[in-house]
Amino acid sequence: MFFTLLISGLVIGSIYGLIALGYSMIYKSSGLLSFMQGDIMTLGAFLGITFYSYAGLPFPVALLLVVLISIALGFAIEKGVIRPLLNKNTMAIYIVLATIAVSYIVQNGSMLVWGTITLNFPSIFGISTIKVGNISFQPEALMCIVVGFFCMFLLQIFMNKTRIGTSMRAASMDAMAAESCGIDVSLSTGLSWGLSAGLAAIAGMLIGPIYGVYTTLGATIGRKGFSSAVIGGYGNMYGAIVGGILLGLVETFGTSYVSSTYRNLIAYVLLLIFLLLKPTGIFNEKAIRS
Amino acid sequence: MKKKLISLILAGAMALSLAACGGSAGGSSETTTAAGNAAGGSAESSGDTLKIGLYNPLSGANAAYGTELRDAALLALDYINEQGGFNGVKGEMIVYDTQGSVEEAVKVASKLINEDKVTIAIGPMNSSEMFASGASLNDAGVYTLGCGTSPTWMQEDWPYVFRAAVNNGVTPPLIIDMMKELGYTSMAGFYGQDDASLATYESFKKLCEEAGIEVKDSESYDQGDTDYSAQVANIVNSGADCVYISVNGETGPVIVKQLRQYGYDGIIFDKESFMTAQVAIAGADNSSYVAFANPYVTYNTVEEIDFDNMKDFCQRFKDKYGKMPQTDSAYRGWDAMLVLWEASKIAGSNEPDALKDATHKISGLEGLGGPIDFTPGDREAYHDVRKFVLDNGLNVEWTKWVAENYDGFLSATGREK
Repeated sequence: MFFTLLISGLVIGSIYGLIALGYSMIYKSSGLLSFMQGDIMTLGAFLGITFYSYAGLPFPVALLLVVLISIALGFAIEKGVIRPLLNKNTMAIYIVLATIAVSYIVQNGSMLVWGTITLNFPSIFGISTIKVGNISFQPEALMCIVVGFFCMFLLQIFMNKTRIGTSMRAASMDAMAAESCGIDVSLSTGLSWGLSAGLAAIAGMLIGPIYGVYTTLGATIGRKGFSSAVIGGYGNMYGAIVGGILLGLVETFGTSYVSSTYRNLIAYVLLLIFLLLKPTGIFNEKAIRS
Repeated sequence: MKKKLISLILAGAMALSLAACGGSAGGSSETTTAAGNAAGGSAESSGDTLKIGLYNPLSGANAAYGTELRDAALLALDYINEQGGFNGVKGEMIVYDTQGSVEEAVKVASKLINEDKVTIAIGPMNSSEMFASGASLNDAGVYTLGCGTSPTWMQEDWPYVFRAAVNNGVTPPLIIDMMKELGYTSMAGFYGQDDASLATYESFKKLCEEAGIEVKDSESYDQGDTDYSAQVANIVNSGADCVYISVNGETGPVIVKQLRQYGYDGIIFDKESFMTAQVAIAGADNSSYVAFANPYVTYNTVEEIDFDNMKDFCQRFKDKYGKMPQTDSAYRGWDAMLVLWEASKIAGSNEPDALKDATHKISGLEGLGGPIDFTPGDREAYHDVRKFVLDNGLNVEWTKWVAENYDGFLSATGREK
C-alpha cells in the first residue's frame, strides 16, 4: 500500500512539476505570469491522440510533432498576444488576463475540434499494467517520473549554462540593458513561452494513457502546477519539480490516510502555508519586492 | 497591417471559442419545425403548432449526452408529426442550451415560461439542473418530463413534473440482490460529490448495512479531479468482495480503468448502465465484469439488439445521424416524447392539466427500457429494471451470466468469489 501510494504521488507530482517548470521558465525569462499551461497540456494530449492513435504514427514521432507544434504555438502566442501588450506598456495584470483568455480559447477550440466525450489514449507500451509483488502500476507512470526529472535537469542546465538560457535570464532582469548588449529580447522571451508550451504538451502526452483525454483535463492540474511552482520557489527549475513532487505526495498520502473528501483542501492549505510562512519557496527564490 | 491581421486572428479565435460555448450568456435558442431542422434565432410559433420547450446541456462537459437527448427527442417529434401529431396538431420544439450550468438552466426555464409561453417542457438530463428549475415550471403549470435520474428532485411535490427515465433510487436494492446472489458479504464504494451520485450512494450504503453487507471503505472525489489513485489504492487494499461506484457520466470509465490498472479484477457494480461511450474510454478489457441494474443499455450495432422497439429506434437514429446512440440520454429523449404523445392521446387534449391527469393512466406503454407504467401514482415511468453485466464488450443479462459465465470469471481472475 505504501509503495503504491508513493508511486502514485510521484507520478502526479511529476506532472505538476512539468507544468510548474513551464510557469517558472516564463517567469524566469520574462518576469511574467501565465495561466494557460493547463490548457496547453490538454491540447498536447489531444494532438498526441490524433497523431499516435488516429494517424498511427510511432509514439516518439508523435511526441516530437506535438512538442514542435506546441513550441510554435507558445512562440506565436507570445508574439501575437503578449508582445503587443508589452509594447504598449500594459500593466502586468492585463497580461495575466490575456493568458486566461487564451486558455479559454484553447479549451473551447479543443472542444470544437475533438468534441466533449472523453477519448481513450491507447497504452504506449502495449501493456496496461506492470506487477511487482503486490504493487501494480502502468509503465507510463514510470515514464512520467523519469521524464519529469530529466526535463528539470535539462532546463536547469539550459537556463544556466547555455548562451540562449543566459540571454533569457538577462532579458528578464533588464530588457533594455540586455538589448544594449546585443541580446534579442523579443526572440528570447518568445522562445521561453514556446519551450513552456512544449513542456506542457509533454505532460499531456504522458498522462493521456493514464487518465484519458478530455477538454478539462488540464484545468485542475494547471492550478496545482502553479501551486507547485510557488511551493518550490517561483522561477526555480529544481523548485518546480520538487514542489510538484511534494504536492503530489502530500495530496496522495493525505487522500489515503486522512480522507478523500479533503483532497483539494489539503493541497491548497499547503500552498497557503508556503505563501504565508515561506513565500520564497523551498529553494528560496526571491519572492518579496525589495 | 500586422496589427490588423493579429486582431483578425484573435477575433476569429474568440468567435471559435464562443461557438464552442454554444451561445450567448442569455442562452441560445433553436426553433425546430416538424422536419426537425435546427435554426438559430426567433422562438416564435406559428400558432398552429404545439410548442414544446427542451432545455439541456448542449455545450460543456456533458454536451455529448445532452446533444443525443435533443437529437432523439427531435427524431421522436418527426415520427409523431408523421403520424398526425398531437391530437392533429404538429409539434414544434424550442431548444435551449443550459451549458451544463444550474444558473443557466433556471434562466432558460424562466425564458420558456415567460417569453416562449410553452405549456410543455422536456427537462435536462442533469438532475441538479432539473432540481433547480423544476419548481418554476411546476408553479407555472407547465407539463414537464424531466430526464435526470436522481431520486431527489422527484421527491418534491411537483404534480406537473414527471420522469420518463429510470429513478436511480430503485436500483440500489437490485444491486444488493445481485451481491447477495454471489454470496458477497463486503463491498467498497466510490462516489461523486454531485447530487445524483451522493444521494444514490447514501441510499445504497444504508441498504448494505441493513442487508448485512459490510462497507469496508468509502471514497469520494470532487468534480474536476483527474487523479483517483489514492482512493483506488485504498479500495484495492480494503480487500472487499466487490466495488460499487456511484459516479457521474464520464468519470465512471476513468475510475474503472484506474481500478483495473491498480490490480482490481473483481466485479464493479455501477449505479447506472455502462454505455458504449464509456466502454470506449475504459477499454473493452477493463470494462468486463462491470455490472448494473438499469432499463437501458447501449449497443454497438443494430443487429445485436434483442428488443424490437429498441431495434427500430436505433435504426432510425442511425439513419438520421449516421451513428448508433452512444449514451442512454438518447433513450430518455425518445421515451419522454413517447410519454407526452401517449398522454395527449389518452387526454384527447394538449392542455397541461389534461396531460397531467392522463399521464397517471399510462400503463403498458412499451418504452425503450421496458414497460412504462405511471399508474402507481409516483410520477415515475419505470418500476421494473433489468440487470446486466458487461463481458467482452457485450451486455449480458445478469441471471444468464451468473448461470453460464460466473465459473469462467472465477477461474480467469483466480478469485474465490
